[in-house]
Amino acid sequence: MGFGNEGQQKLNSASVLVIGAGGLGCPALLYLAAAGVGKIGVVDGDVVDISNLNRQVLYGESDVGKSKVGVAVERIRQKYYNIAVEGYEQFIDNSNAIALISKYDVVLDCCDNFSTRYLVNDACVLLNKPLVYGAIYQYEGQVSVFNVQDLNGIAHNYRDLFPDPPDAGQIPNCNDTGVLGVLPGIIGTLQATEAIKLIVGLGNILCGKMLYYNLLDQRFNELAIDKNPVSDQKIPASQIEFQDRDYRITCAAVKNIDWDKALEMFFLNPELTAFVDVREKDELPKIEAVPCLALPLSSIAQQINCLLPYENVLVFCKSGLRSDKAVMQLQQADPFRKYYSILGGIMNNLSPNNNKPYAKEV
Amino acid sequence: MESTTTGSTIRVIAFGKAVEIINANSLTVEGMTDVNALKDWLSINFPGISELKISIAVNQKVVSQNRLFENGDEVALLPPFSGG
Repeated sequence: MGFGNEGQQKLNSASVLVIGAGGLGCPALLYLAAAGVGKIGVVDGDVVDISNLNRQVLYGESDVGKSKVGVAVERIRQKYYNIAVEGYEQFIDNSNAIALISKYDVVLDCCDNFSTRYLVNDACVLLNKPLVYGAIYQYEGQVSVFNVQDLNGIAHNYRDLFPDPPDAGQIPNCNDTGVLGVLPGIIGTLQATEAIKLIVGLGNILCGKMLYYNLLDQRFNELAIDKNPVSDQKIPASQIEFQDRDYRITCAAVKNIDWDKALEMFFLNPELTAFVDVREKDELPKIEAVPCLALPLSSIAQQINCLLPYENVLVFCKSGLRSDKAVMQLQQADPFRKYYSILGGIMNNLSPNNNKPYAKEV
Repeated sequence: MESTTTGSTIRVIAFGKAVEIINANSLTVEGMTDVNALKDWLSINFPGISELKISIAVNQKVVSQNRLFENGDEVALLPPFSGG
């Protein structure tokens, strides 16, 4: 009979917040609801895309274009009428994180980007909230439970492993690399498992360690986490400091590149590399030597989907100022491509217009 | 003072993106004195590694500071994962 009536009672009176209703969030939500967690919150500002369907198992083809949270809440309510499901159709950020997380007993980090992971980690440390972390990369996944004391009385968090976020665009997301849909299914289910164990008080929790899973080898590895001496300083000292911190900027620094390196990158991988001209449409001269997408800075945010097919995005303008701004915007809107701002723009001596032997003539 | 110039033979195990960069799940490295020496060696032989903010575990324990290696140590390269 598992953990019996008492355990079931604990689940019924518990509340869990699932951050991200994607590949990890869908299976986690299904199992938390099926287990009878009394109150479930789900936060995500995204809509269902056809490319999500191989792993985001709450959604079907008829849901494409709909709010993930809207569909997820409806599905869970259809299945279990006695669960209080609260949907938040927004992305979590530092203005809403503290208020949202405060309302729940346990938090699941099921998001898909570093900015949100650091933000959720820091908020949960400040609120001393148990955080069940899960993440995937291609054929591997990892799970841990933060802010819960291990046998030595030490509570760890994500910054003990990785004190600082990586540079934006360093790690691609699932849509770019393609994952086997069952991988987030396994990791999200492990997250739900840890949440249920925590609530019920069952077994040994994955605190003070990170569990790694490798799908190709069907291998689990468990690594003990050390308290990193710098991690405490990396976390905002107060909720006010947290709300003032810009997690997006912290995760995004503009990478500059010279024309010769940019052209080299393009000729090495022309299918996955795009030159983007962020000058207004009437600005001359145009670059003829290589194909360029014309996405003026004034409207680049609306045209960001043009960049989806590319891995490397090489942005230029007249002098290199607007391209820096464009890269900042692009990194914030979609941190999963590598963006470069070309130094000196078309005025630079090395630009294809000023420098003829660009075409790798031997 | 004991000399460590000869270094130790260690087994390096890669996770996540580190697998792609070293193009193997694991490799054996000889003559490695400590964690910092390994980081230097990796950045020379596999420049992509230094672009990742990797953590390192020695014998299944994540280490945030430098430490000496012993023969047979198992060293894991742990890049951060963000996908979901």
